Amino acid sequence: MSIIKLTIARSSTLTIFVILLVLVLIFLSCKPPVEVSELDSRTNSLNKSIMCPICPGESIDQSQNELAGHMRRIVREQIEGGKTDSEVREYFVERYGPVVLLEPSTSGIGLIAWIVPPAGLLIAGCSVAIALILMKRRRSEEVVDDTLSHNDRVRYYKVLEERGISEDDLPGREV
Amino acid sequence: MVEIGQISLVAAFILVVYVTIVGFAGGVLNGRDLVASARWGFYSVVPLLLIATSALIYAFVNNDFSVAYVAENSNLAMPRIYAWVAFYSGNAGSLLYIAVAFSIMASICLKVITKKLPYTAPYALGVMSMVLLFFLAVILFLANPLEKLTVTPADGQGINPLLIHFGMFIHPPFQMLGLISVALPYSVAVGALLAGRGGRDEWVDQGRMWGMVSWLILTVGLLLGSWWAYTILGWGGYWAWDPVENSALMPWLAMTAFVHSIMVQKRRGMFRMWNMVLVIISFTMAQLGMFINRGGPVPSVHSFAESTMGWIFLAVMGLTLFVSLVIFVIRYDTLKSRGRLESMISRESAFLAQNILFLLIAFVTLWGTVFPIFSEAVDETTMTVGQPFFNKVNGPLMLLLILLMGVAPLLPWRRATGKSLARMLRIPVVSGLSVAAIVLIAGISQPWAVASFAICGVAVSGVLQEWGRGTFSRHRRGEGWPRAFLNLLNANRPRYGGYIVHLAIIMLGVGITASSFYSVQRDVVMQPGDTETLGKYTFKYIGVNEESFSDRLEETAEFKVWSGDKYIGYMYPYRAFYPEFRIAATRGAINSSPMEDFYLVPSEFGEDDQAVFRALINPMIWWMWASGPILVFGTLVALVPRRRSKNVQLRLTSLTARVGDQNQSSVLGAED
Ligand code: HEM
Ligand code: HEM
Repeated sequence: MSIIKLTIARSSTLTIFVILLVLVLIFLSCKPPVEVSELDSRTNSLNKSIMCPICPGESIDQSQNELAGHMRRIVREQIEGGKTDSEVREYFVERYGPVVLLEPSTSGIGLIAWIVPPAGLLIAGCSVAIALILMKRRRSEEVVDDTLSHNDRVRYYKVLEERGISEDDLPGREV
Repeated sequence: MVEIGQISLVAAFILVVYVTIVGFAGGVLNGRDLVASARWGFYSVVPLLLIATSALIYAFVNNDFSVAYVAENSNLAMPRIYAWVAFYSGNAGSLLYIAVAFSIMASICLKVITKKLPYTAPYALGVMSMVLLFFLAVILFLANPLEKLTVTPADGQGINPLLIHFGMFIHPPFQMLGLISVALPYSVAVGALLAGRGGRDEWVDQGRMWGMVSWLILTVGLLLGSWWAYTILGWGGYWAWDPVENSALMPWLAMTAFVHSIMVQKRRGMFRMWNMVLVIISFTMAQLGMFINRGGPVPSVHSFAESTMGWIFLAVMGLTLFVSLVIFVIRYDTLKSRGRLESMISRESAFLAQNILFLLIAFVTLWGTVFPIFSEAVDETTMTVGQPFFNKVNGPLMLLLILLMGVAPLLPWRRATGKSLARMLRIPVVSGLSVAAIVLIAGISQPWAVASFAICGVAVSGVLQEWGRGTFSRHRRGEGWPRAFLNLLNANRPRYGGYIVHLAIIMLGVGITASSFYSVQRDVVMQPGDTETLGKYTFKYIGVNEESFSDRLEETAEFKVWSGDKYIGYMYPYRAFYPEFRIAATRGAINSSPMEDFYLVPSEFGEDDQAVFRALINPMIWWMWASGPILVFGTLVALVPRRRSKNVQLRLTSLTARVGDQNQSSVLGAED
């Protein structure tokens, strides 16, 4: 018994060690990310949030169109001229309407776009919970499977655990 | 040649009508001969469609502009090799491609299930032939690629210039086949349902197998599409949440949910209804994808198969969904679950949570895609929903999914005790925290990026822990290390193959995280002789080489590039302008390494030698492409069945539950 315990202890230390080694190796090769000037990073993120009015659904950052190039220059000039991000956006909305923003606004109808996903998450969470509760209540028809008494079942999992094996590795347990 | 093609199309159509009727009739009347006749009819559609496709390719290769579709999608200036694949560059031809590719795959599927699921096969055959019937009807009556023009033009209009790229040979075939192959698991499942055998779990193995085949093809198509977009679209990214991209992602998400939840049915006899629902949703989403691509209401850059018949796809999608649900409701009571959920904390409930999360992401994606239409209809203001929205909303959900992918497989089936849970999660949690610490030290400080790397760390160590544990326990029983590992993988291929796939998905996640948070880009205006720097890279613009062709002006810039003090070499970003299309096809020059890509692409070549270039450093994109082969390998490991003697197999499938029991008693016995 104690021998088994010892091996398990050793094996999990070794596992931790190996895993950490791999992760450290991966991330040691990371160098700190390149410093970007405030101007560049703001320009880029603004470019990504403004649509090119004549291209199908592309941002001005993506588009190869001349107009998009022109708009990119305007964005840069305005930032250099000291405007804030929302002022720059406003500038384009005045000319092209709210369509040019690639992100729905957080007021009016645009708000619905933002509300639906978290509401979905909430509903999804609740429905999983309800489904699980219902499934748990259901009477089992799986007679064969319940031949082990409760005590045996507990013992069974304990043995599995002590040996450090998973039920899935037993023969006949594919998938 | 064209006429022969036409005739075989018509013949194929008639044959498929026959097959559909006789297949279903054979199933209902239980007539062996009828079924066999329908089956052989279905097989014979393959050569007919191959002839029609060959006729179309022949017309392309020989510049037969008397064929309307060839005249629209090809011209003399097109590089010759592309004539062989140009036939799927437009709507009509790509439909023919879909029909022929589907007929081949469906025939293989049919052959397999005829042997394995004799009662289900006739109905599955009926469903498959209805799918094929739809495509052939559209091809024959609405979009015939072999239709002739009355006057033969001297030259064609040419192919969309963006498609002159190596990606043309691989992405469209995979992507289109991927979408349509979702019909295979759908046919198997609905076939079983129709045959009244949905409640017997015999269809599960085949459903899972074809589900994974389809998943694999879809995944490869998606990766290739992203890679193509990255190399050619000239903005240095690979995914823009464009409607067509979304339309490929949604069925992929639903299929991923399906290949997981089907495992619960196989293992525990649970989720029977849920699996049916999932497979129906997957097929609906695949049809939705085709609708969006072929005349959807949302503008997209990717409108190569644009047509006016989107509404037909939409109508058929609605019809399919409706009929499927009716069948489902009629057969509802055959689908009662065998197993019972024993505990809220168990592998089963993790699977359900994971499934819902997949569907939620698919739903949010759909929501963002159709929101512009919704806002137009409700408020008469068109809103655009683009990258920033999807990143903000789907990003966190996907992270949650990866977290689940790391910890949920550690949960035991049926029930987990708090103690065992803590034990299992110890290593992953420690690893996740250490990764967070390491990346923070390495200078990465954006909270979402740190969270993402940490979660990837949890998921990696979860997989490694499972592998490690199994290998140890085998090693202890006297197997050498490498042997123990291989035997472990072999002992439960679906599971450990799945883990390989998961590792590949984590690589993908690392690549996506690094490149979305730490990509650096600059637009620079340069004249020959100028030198600029970006990060550690220094690049010198030598000059531009112009070459004029009958259909395009090619401009290739020449750069000398250094990384720090190290000279890397020359890079040649390229831009070709096609006056007739008013399209510029650019091709980035990429210096790729596992750490980062240095990417140069021309935006404009202006007057007096001035040119605008975009330079980017995209960290770790390499990992995304490298994950592809691993992912394919893992899926194949999980897919290829283990050879067993027939006897054992019979016993195992009919008595899985009891075998489990034997395991339990033998484990207990050994303990005593
Ligand atoms: C992330 C990137 C991409 C995704 C998700 C994607 C998705 C798709 C989908 C779903 C289809 C099948 C449509 C159907 O059968 O109805 C398709 C087909 C096709 N794709 Fe892409 N694609 C991507 C990038 C590209 C790029 C960059 C190009 C070329 C420049 C391209 C060219 C094509 C072509 C020519 C077809 C076949 C014709 C068609 O059905 O539209 N794709 N793609
Ligand atoms: C995007 C791709 C994928 C994601 C995000 C993903 C996610 C997950 C998650 C969250 C779980 C744990 C949930 C649970 O146990 O319910 C899981 C389990 C599993 N997945 Fe995936 N998965 C992906 C692809 C695949 C593929 C393609 C396969 C098949 C080859 C696969 C095979 C498995 C297996 C076998 C398990 C159960 C593990 C076990 O029994 O220990 N996964 N996956």
